[in-house]
Amino acid sequence: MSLSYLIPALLIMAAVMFSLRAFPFVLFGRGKKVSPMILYLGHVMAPAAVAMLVVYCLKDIDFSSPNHFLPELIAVAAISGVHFWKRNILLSVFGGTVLYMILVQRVFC
Amino acid sequence: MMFPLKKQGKCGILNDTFFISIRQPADFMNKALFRKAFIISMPVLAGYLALGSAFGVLFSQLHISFFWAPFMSLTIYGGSMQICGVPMLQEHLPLLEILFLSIVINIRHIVYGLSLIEAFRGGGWRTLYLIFSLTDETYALLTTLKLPEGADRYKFMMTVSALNHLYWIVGGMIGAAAGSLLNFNAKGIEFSMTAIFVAILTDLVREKKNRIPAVVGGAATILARVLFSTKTMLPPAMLAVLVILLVIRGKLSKMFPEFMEKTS
Repeated sequence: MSLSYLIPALLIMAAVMFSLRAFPFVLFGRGKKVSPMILYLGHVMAPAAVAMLVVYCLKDIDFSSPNHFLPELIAVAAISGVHFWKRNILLSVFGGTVLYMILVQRVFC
Repeated sequence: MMFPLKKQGKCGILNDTFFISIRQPADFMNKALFRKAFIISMPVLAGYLALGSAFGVLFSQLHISFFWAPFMSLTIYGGSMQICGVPMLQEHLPLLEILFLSIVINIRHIVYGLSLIEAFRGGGWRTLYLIFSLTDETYALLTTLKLPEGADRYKFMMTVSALNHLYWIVGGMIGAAAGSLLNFNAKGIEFSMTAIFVAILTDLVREKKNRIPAVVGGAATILARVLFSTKTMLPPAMLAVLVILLVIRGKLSKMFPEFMEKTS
């Protein structure tokens, strides 16, 4: 991977991360009145964006062949089930990824 | 983000005048403060070593210099951002798409700091670091934290935050080293990005008020996937979500009691 791609890519991630963390402090930091519109959007955009990302992550599934949607479907169901039950992000992410890897490498291949 | 160390001398003057008559006890207090901060940060120690390692193992599949793992943990310092960053780099996404995805991934942070504005105010460069290092876990610690008697508030919060940051960096390095030694078939490892958001969504929809926005976000994105190509679907989806959420604002804002209090 070329540095001329890697460095700007990482800097973008770092800059976005910091800007969004700093957002409420800059906007409302000096006792400014909190805009109800921004407050509302901040609250409702969080779940909307995460749902958006789930769909985005699954954008490449293809319903014409079970090999191209069943692993995703099974893993997503397992992750949400386990996470609902145990509330352990590490178990859900790590376990879910390993399950998916087993499914695509051994079961649906 | 340790570069402000150089400035410490300048800020130290302030602290020296503050502790001018009790220089010895101040030194003793620094050790006590560090010990207290360490004890408070212990729950995060285990979590960050583990989650950081997960990032590191994923990172090792990029097959780039080991140096970039601690670099990412130092400068980005966000679990979902870093774990999603790996497949983004792997697929060589255009920078514009990386920018856009990064915003969507982190948008949930924009109301995060609201409850800490008062607590963080007036700490100088320490405030800057506290904002930079405000992860989910650090947020949880700082909002429930009890300040030890006589301790400098900013120093104490800063120590807790910096310890968490350190655990995260070390975790990533352990994972990256382990991942490069292990030889395994990495096919499907990019699914960790999906797994993170499925888990976060599961947590969010436990609360009733998050369900309608989640359905709006999901449905608009599915529609965008059908109408546009997989490469161009995100901006129209984002725009549609924004418009729909603004249109149903009147109905939806009734479900946010904490929000109604502040505006009425």
